[in-house]
Amino acid sequence: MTETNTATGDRTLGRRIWRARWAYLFVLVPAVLFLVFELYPFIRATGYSVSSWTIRGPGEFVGLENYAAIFRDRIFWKALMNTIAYAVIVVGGSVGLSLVLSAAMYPLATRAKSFFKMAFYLPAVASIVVVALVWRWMYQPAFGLFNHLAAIIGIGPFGFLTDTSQSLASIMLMQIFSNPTIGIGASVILVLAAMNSIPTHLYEAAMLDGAGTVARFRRITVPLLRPTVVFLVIIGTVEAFREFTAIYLMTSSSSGQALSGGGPFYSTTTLAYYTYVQAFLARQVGVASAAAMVLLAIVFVVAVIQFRRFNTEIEY
Amino acid sequence: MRRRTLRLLIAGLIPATIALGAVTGPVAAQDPQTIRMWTWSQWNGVTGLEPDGQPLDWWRAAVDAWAAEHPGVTVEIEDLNGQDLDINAKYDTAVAAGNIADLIWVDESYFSKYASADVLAPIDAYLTEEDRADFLAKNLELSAADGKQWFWPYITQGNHLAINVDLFRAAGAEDLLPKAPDYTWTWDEFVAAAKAVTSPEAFGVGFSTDGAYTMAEAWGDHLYAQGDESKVTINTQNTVDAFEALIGLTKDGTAFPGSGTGAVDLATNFLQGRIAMINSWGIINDIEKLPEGERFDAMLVPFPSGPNGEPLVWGGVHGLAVTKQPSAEREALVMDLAHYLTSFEALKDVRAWSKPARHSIIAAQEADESYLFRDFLPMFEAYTNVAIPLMGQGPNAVPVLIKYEPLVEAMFTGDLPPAEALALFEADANMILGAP
Repeated sequence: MTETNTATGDRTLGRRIWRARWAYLFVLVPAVLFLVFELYPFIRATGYSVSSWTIRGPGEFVGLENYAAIFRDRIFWKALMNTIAYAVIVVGGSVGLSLVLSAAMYPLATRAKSFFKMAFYLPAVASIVVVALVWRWMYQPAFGLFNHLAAIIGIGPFGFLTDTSQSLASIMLMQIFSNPTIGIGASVILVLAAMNSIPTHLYEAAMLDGAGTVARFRRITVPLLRPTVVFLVIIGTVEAFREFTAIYLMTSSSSGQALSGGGPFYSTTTLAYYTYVQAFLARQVGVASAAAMVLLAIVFVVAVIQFRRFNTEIEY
Repeated sequence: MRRRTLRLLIAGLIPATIALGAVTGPVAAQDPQTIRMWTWSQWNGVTGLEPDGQPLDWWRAAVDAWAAEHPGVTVEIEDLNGQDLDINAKYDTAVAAGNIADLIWVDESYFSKYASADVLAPIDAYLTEEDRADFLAKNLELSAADGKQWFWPYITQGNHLAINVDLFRAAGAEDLLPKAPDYTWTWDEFVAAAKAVTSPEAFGVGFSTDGAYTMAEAWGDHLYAQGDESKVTINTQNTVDAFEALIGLTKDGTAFPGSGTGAVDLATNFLQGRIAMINSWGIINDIEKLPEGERFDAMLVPFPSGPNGEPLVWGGVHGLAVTKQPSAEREALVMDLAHYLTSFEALKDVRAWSKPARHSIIAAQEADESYLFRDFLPMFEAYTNVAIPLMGQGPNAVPVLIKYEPLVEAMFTGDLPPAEALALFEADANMILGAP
């Protein structure tokens, strides 16, 4: 009886799979990619994080020693603080600014709105390599565009990327305006699209009740944009915590030999950059894997908190 | 039931993925007639003169010439086209995965890491007496470790001073520049020249982080004592004085703002005539590419000697190393290819600024009166003579240097005084080196 049931069950399962074969096929491709390029490296990195490392691969099991090593390293804590500051300011700045810009653009005529959307999104279309190098050039302390403009209004000169007190802020500013994922370009497009989906009768009712422009924005627009804002904040935070490319491009020496990316004096070293340095320069792959695990844990916890704190169902 | 189906699918895919990783880890035995080569193009075109030359042209032409004598052998060429550290990352990953190429580009600063890990095959048995006499002695010295030669020298590198002579001429200060045959000068002569050429339109000198600590070593003390990389020896009053002198140049407006940090852009400003002198690993080809009218006369000279030091250049040699091969026959084949690619025969017609590793190639270029860079050859030979492998050659060379550079930057940003930065570095570095 049991055998018969199992056989019937298997046939039913087989039929179900066959019936939904196209669905499974479409799911299979991303699933395999996920397993090969995400899950498998994650499993291996977890193993590396508790191993010593030689040039030929992982060595002996060392327990939590690699984790202890990063927690003892003052550069790790500096990188962690830089990463948190970077995430908070870039995500907050980008989302906040895109809300304000979108609100300003919303009442404009369609043509004007399209022009501004294109203008804000254009830097996001360009390669981050090109954008970073152009900003790096504009930030040059002598003969750079920004110091030239500063001189016209009688301030500066600023060191920008060559000054420890300004370097991280300089990269944050570039990212807010130009990052293809978390910059204002993409955010403005999404926020404007969300604004367009808010029923106009809500505004009309509010106007009848005597609500002004600011009150309507604060009481209607912002709350109803919450799903979009939550999406932007979560995606932005994850991206910000993984930031590497712009740091590498904007702070590494162009002389071809120097190792001083993430500077000056660690002022722009993020956790992702710290992980790269440990893995490929210090050749401490176990320590780098431990740092990557810590980064993953932080991103996971922050994303869960954000999701739980901000995500609510919206009904019009 | 749907959940169960999904679970079954995932349960099947996880071991499949792990199994896939296992089979793609160590690569199966190579086809004996295919040689994989990872190299780094140093000029475009075959000779370097072709206006439409491409990065791999010379390598393809040279490999074709060699392959004509070795029918049935295929050579796959990959241009690394990156900085040394990116190349290192690629190699480390390939070694761990067991799929390093047969012939790889290396330099004096990191080959020993792979030699000591048993990744490379020594070349001594294939190096002829003629080769030993023809390669620059410095290059053979820098490509050796543990009494063996580990790679075939291809180009001679040097982090030296590049000078825009036209700016000095315009300032009436050309006579302040160093003279042939050795092109050396003292710190005071260098500072006098830098100040003489500084104007509202141009800075006297600009240096990156690696330029700063190379110049500091010309004051007499070095990162490591000669031949001993068990502890760092740079934390001295002499070096503190050197860094303070360099910082002085940034404070009085002689040095380009941002000098001493990684983010400073020296090359572009030098090419635009906004800096008279910069440290550089090679900018002559870029000067020649400038439009007519923007090109300028240049000099390549060693860094000036400090009160207790000697003029020097951070020298190096890049070349081709053969990785361990499965058989003696195959090793001989790959060695033969490496030998040919670094030979006079293969390189004699190159007319780019190629910084040759052989006396015979330098002689051929000197004899060619039409050679665009002929005037630079005496300077090249002069600075190569005073080159040192500044960052060391041991397995901890890079890990130590990544501690040094941020602290050197901290001196120039004003975050740490030189004495404190050097003390911190000494403690960090000696911990890495296991020194007391």
